[in-house]
Amino acid sequence: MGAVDDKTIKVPLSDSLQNVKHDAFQMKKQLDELNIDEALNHAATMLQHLQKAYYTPKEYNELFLTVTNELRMVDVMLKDAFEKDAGMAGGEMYEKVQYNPSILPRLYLMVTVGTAMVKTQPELTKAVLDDLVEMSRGVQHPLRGIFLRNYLLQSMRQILPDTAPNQEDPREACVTDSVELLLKNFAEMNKLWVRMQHQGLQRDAPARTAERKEIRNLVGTNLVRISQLDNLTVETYCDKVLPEILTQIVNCRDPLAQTYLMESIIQVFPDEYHLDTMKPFLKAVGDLHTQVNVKNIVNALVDRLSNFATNNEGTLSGKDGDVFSVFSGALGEIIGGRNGLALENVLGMQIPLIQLALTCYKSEPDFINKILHTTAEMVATYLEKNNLTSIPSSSPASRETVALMKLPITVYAADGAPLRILELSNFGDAFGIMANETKKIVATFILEKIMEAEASIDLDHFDAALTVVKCLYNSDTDQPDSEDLDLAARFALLLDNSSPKDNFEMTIRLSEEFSNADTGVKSFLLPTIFARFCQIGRDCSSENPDISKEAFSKAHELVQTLADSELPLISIRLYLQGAASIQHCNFDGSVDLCYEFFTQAFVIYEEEICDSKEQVAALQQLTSTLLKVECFKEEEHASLRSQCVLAASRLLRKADQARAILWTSHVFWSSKVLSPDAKESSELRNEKKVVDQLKKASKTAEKCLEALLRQQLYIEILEKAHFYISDGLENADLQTLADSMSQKIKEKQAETQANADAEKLAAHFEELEIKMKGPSPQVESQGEESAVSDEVNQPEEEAPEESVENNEE
Amino acid sequence: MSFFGFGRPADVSIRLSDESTRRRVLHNVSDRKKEPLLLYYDGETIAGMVDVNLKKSNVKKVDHKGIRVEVTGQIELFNDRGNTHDFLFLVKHLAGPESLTSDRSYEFEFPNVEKPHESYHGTNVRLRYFVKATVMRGMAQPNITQELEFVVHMLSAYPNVPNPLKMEVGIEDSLHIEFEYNKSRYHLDEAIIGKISFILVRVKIKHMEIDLIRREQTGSGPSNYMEQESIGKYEIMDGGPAKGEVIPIRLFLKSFQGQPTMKEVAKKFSVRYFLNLVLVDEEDRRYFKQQEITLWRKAYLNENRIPTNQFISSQLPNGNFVNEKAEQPPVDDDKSALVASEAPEAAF
Amino acid sequence: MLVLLVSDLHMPERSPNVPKKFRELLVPGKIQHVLCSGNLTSRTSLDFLRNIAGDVHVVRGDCDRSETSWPDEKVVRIGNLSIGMIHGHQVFPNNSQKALEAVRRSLQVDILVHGSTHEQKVDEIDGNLFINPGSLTGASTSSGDKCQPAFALLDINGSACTLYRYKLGSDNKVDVQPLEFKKRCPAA
Repeated sequence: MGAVDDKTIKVPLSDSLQNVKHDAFQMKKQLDELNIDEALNHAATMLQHLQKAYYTPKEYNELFLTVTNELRMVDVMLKDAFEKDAGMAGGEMYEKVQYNPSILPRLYLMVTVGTAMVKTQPELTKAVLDDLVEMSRGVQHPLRGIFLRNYLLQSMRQILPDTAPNQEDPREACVTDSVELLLKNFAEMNKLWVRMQHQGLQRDAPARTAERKEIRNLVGTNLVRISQLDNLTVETYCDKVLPEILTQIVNCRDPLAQTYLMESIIQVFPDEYHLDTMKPFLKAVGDLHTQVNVKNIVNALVDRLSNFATNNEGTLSGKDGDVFSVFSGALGEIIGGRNGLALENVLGMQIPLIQLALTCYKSEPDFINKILHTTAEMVATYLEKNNLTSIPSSSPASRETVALMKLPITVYAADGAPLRILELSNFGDAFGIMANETKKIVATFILEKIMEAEASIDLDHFDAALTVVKCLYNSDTDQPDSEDLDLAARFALLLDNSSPKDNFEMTIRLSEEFSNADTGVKSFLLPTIFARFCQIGRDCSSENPDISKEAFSKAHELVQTLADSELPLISIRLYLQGAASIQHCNFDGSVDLCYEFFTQAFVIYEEEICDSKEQVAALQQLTSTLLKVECFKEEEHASLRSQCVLAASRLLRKADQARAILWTSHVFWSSKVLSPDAKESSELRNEKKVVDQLKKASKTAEKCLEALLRQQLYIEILEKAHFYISDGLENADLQTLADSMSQKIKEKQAETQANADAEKLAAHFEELEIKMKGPSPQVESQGEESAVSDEVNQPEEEAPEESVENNEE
Repeated sequence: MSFFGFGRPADVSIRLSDESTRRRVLHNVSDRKKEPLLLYYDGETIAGMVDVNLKKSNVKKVDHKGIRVEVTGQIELFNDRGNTHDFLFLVKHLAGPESLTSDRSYEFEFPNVEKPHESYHGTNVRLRYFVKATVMRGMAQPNITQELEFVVHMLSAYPNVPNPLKMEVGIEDSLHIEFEYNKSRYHLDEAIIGKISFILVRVKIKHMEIDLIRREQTGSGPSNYMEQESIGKYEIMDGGPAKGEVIPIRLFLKSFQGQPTMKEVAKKFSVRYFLNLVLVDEEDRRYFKQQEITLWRKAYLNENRIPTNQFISSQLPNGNFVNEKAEQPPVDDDKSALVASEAPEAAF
Repeated sequence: MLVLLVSDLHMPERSPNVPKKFRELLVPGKIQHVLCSGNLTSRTSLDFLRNIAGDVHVVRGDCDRSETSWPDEKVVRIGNLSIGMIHGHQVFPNNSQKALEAVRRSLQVDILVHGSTHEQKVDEIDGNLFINPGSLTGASTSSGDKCQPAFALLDINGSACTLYRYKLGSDNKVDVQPLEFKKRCPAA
């Protein structure tokens, strides 16, 4: 007797396979001698191997394939035999194989003989198949049962009745009989498959789930067979097939089976069927186990229907009405009917719906609006019920909301119209209900899509867009992070600038928005707005001077806000940026405003900047901007440059001082100043001042105690001297200074210890000397070079000069 | 073989008249050995020839005191050796004393012999029929005899009235089933159709089988012997069902070599049959319930073949038996018979 | 060995994004090093560069926030070439070729990469290369001058390299100009 239990010592699969081969050989030998009874006895022995259910489903499958492959020989043989003696022989043999006391071989042989028999006696088909499907109940062991029924499915494949019902003789086997058989077999197989989960130890449950997944197709084959019946009608599907399958699915309460089978239904049966059965299908979805990802199922159905719509053009409607309405109605029922359905699942189910609306009803934004509205309502109800203010952004519900929102954005962006999302009247409802952190994710997504498309935001979309952006800098709890602020700032640059008036209006409003933010936030946001005002000011200067002027005064106000917020360095930079921009404009009072910007920058420099590094940085900016601005007359320029010179001499560190003095020397040289009649501008080219500055630098450098640094400063002074000389400044003092610098450098070089920095300086110096010597630099030998150096090595007393400090005043 | 130096001067043998066309069946002639014996039914005439053949080589002439032939039906109890009971004894004298110089055959005929019992070879008892031919000889010379055993089948006829066996049994809070056999009386070519419904399953069932048990009872009073023997096991379920499953049963009695139920045969013995439903759980505990069934042998008009397709159409176990709905038999509620046990066997 | 040279992104102060055409070109996995000569101005920009190549070098520009820690100057050695980086706002006068030469001498490099003008410019002087890759985003200058988005790509092979200059024209087409360069005195 069979019933080998799992505690039996496991025979290696290879051994079992070998034994099968051996039995099969005996069986074939008998077949060759036309000794069918004996052959069947050997077949039964061979079939005993399938009793070993301790194999993994994969191994068992291999064993099954080997055994059933051998059985095919019997099938061929039987068919021949039955053809010779149609009628009695088949019946007798069908009975005889039932004498086998072991159930598993008995049933396999019954299937083999029974299905072979009806090939010659088709009138028995229905009775035999019914019998086989029914008798197979005897195998309740899940794995063995599933495979047995799988063998049955394979064997009946060719003989399933598939003719339309005969009205005159309703007893004649037809397609409905096949449907019944397959449904019954399906129900049994599914039961076994589900039961498999509950075998063995609880802790092995995940492994069993995995094993069950491996054989799920065997269960699904029943559905495939039904779908392959040529004479299956939509009516039969709606009235019989689907209801029965759904009953099984719902009742089995097994998440894996439910998920797989629901998806199988969608895959296996044609689109038109789904169109007519949406209601019952979706109703069943609502009754599934809570662990089933209902969203995926609904999604898959939507995908099917969407594809169908795409291929068939036209609005989808089935017998229950148009698809969208049916869907949204059904989803409402699912949600309503499933008490305790997690919010994320409720929201998740809106996703396929929105997908459907986006795919099949592109031209009807009302559907999207409706979904957004429903979503907002559902969340609001949930919050109220649970006494919450918002859904935590890390929660699954929030992830679903984000996914929901992203869908239309993605679709619109793909159509090249990312702004369409802002046009949806209910977008704000759904967006507004989210926690700030969640909003950020969506806002980021929208802005990225807009940027990707290189679209710009016009006045019509501005308000909606602003609602979206707000979350990036208006954080209710934490300090917003810099990436969000970046994005908010970038938003300002997305504003459409084709209409200066609209552009200006939007920028002003945005500026007001941003100005209300926290100080830390403002430093991120306002520079962009400022730059934008300056840009508007510059762009409008010739055609809209009024706007231009107003823009700059707005810019000015804006920096003051920042300056008040104690952001001096940024304020200085922006003032100077403003000044540099205004110089290109010629509205009434532009030069005064430019001067004002400068003055403000200096005021802040004086009053607010204490850190020596910041002073250096600010002074660099002041000086270089002064060198760029060409709209001042001598009086204004003189005032500003003396401020620079003064500031330079006041720097704390000697090295900084020396360097700053070197920069400021340029304002005496290449600054362009307007003639009194404001008609032309020319460079200052004040040789004496330049030379004085350089001398002053050298004296300052002298005071620098650190040898290497001092040496470096000398080289920098020498570089500067070289700059001016080669720029046409011919002055004996300058040459003398240069020579003296060279001399000192060489002296220092002799003193300093060799190290990497010193070597680098030496190399720099060497190159500089070559450069200074002649216009045609040639490769010279070291020896010659040192000889040249000797030549200039005539130390001159440094001219004892008075400090040039404050000499501009 | 000669006792007295001459050996047996002649052989005697029995030929039954239709032995070439009459059906033979395999029958136990001893505990181990089966032979194909001729089959007779009650009331059939037994006729044939007794041949006496002289041993040609050394025998010229055989004298005998007469030749007779007997038909015996005999019950033999193995526990009571030597004590046989002949319930049938018929004799015919074929010839008076004479001298035979050549081979000779004698015809005989027992018309319409009443054979009231079925041949049976059991554990403690056998019931057999034989024809015996005897060539009687004088003193000091042994008779020459020959026996020919034949088999008798008792044919019965019962009206085809459904008399199903249906019973709900169980072990409290553990296992609760309802079984149903379509009849309580089966002829030997019939199949037992039935089903087992699992109403409560809290044990892990490994498999389920039906054993056909033969119970042989001999003697009476102090010399009463009872032998119980399983004459076949038939697995009807592999694996464990969930609550609510209904497992079909179809057991062809032909696959077992059962014989009809025999009750109080000549007041000497009875042979009865039981279906034993056995469930085995994963800890190898057995749960069982025995039900007596009556087996009988059916007379066919054409006995070479059983009616075709009885295995499908009429007896499909669609969970229902023929006419079951019309004639719902009373449920024999036998819950009181429950036995819960840790022992390896537990009877319901 | 491909080295991407970029400068003056000014995101998000003056430009919302790197132009789409450039984003399509600058995909991860093709370029080994990125040198940015200043004015990233945001984390977003840095992330963009880091996505292109793992090795990113940055020097500070005048608009980079004070809390970032980029150095003012940096020397990177790739192949046999030393490359100096400086933004250029510290150089007086800004964008003066001579002043930049002085910087190159002080850094002792073969190639000086700088920025600040937002205008792509390449010079070879005395056997040294001066590269201003231009503004990657085409951000306007501090005085509001409009600029073409541009960057440069150095294909370094030992002591030699080829420079590819990329510019995005007003017709939204990318223009590429190659330039060969070989180090004058390979290490003796």
